[in-house]
Amino acid sequence: MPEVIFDNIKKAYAETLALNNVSFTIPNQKIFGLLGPNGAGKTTLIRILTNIIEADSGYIHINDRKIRGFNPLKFGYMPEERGLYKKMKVGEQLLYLCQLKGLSKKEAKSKIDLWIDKFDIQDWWNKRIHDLSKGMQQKVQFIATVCHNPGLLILDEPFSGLDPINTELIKEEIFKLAAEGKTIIFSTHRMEQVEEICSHIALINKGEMILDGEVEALKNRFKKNIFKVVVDNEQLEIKVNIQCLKQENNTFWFQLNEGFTSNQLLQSILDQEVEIKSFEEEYPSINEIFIEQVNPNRHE
Amino acid sequence: MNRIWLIIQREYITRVRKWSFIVTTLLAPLAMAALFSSQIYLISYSVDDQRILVLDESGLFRNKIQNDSGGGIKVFYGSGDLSTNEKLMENGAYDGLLYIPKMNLDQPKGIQFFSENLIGLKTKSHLESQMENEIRRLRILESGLTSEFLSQLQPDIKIEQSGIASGKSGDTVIATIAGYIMAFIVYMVLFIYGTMVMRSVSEEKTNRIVEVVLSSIKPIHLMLGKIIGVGLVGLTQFILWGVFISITYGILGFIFAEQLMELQQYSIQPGLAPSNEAAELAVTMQNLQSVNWLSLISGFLFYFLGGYFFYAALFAAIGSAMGEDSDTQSMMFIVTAPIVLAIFISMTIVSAPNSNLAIWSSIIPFFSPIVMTARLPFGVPTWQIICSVIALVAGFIFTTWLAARIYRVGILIRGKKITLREIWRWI
Repeated sequence: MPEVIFDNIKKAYAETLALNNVSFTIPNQKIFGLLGPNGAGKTTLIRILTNIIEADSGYIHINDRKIRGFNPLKFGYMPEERGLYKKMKVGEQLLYLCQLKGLSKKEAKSKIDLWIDKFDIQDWWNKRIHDLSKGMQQKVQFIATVCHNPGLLILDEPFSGLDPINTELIKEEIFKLAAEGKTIIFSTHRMEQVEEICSHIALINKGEMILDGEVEALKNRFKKNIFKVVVDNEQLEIKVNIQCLKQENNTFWFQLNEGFTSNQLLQSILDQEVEIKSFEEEYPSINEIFIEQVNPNRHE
Repeated sequence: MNRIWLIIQREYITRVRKWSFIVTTLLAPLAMAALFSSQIYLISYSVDDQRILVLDESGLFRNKIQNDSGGGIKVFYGSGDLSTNEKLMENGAYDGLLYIPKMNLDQPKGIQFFSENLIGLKTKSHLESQMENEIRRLRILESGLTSEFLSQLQPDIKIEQSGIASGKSGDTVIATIAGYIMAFIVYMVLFIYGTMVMRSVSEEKTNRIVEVVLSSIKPIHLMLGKIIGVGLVGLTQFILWGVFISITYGILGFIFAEQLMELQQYSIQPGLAPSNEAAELAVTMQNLQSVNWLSLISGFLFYFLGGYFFYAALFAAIGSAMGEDSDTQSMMFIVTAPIVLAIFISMTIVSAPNSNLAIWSSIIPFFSPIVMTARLPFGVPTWQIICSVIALVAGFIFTTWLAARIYRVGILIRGKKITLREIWRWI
């Protein structure tokens, strides 16, 4: 299974610099989130990885092999804006797309049958795409992406336009594929999905690399020593010099200054006549980290 | 290579299986036949039949002035005096009244024609020639010659042309018709299959499927596969039409075997023919058989395919630049204008197939697929064919290269209107 390294990738369109020396590593067999707002350069990066366009400079390394130009890796790509031939039947469409990936017709048929059975959609084979609902089309698109059993999956906004049930279904399949040892690149501008799904992320904005790494490590790195305390009272007096950031009914947020530990805070609460319901450290969300990194001045 | 083949297959099979393909393949020959016969009808027939009343007081022309079915003239014979006949005409029962007074053969004078509107030139000359023929015949008979002798005297002159280039005897009428039909077919092919390629490209773009496909295949291969696939659909359709026409021809030949045998006799001995028309038809038939069909058809196929490849690439480029709702008429015009111009040129050059316009426009690849096919039946000097073939092959290599450069960028751009200036930058 592949490890993919982007190495100083640069790409410019007519006037705009879409990617400016972007470098990061997508670890092997992990679900990797490629994050950034609209127009950050995610799609350009993916298109370079999927051979659709070429980078102006820079390299991609796949399992220590330096690649310039064509990426020979077996990958499955689901673009952001889904597309299928509307008038083709589900079966022949899947066969066609699977064969384009290099499978023989016979191989393609047996692989597709596995997925058709998995989704329990055997009776769709002869249906035309335009007769299917959007959710059904997404399933077909997903099968088209994964049916040739690629080691690397690239999913660009895989949940956009999906209802909660289908979102769950696809999510489940993504987890299963990850458990099978596939590397999955998951591109989105919706940060909250990332925390749920990805173990590693890279953040880009306006073609620039912001940060990358393991989600937990990043959260640790950017945590602000904020603790959330729930007690059975709306009054809470802290004797030591610890700032209370805000209060909502029985819930209090404290920020520890340099030199204070969480135990000191806890001790100070215990000294009072209140019952502690919960006490936990609060980590920043990826969204907060992103906003802070993109606009460092906004929160100061 | 394998993947281009897959693209070709898909483009071909999804189209050939379509109901519309099957219907047009079956019906188009009928529609074409109807179109051309209606054209011939419109050219050769006047708008309405003219009903001409003949009042012949001389008694010389009774039943001698014939109808002219080709010219739409029907002749009726009246009796009584001039004024009653004039009334009949004024009532609208007839379009004109031909009055022939009592006369002798030496001085056929005083013939008059009455009508509400002015008489057509064709009608006038038909009536005049009919009367002249009869008077001539009567005068000759009067001089003591027999009618058998007379028919032996009747000469039948037709100028037979030899195309220098082809070295074959030809017939201008056949060449004109064949040239026109072939040029028209190529014109239709460029339009129908060119826009088919264009629609197919823009459909993939708006469908977004193109990104999935492009992650497995290079843009130029996708474009080529598409062009070849659609081209094969066109070729299939024409081969099927060819087969249908040959079968129809064969069946007609079988049904009218006897008549055809007779016609063949007339072409050898025109004197045996019952009428001039039959003899003429026989000669035409003979000329049709003398046309070098093999070289004509292979030439036609070359320009059919060459022209298709030349233009299909350009249509593909336009399709790639099209958005869902962006206005592409102006871009379309750049490609369609030379095609339309070419059919206009070929309409004029069938009457002057060796003019400078004809020679140059049949070498320039923008026009040659249509203009050269129109010229082929007239015989074209070898050097011109060689120049034209080279120019067309170079032309479609160039347009494919050009289109590929536009295509690979255009196909991925969405959500904004693309201007000609931008396209220029991509090249």
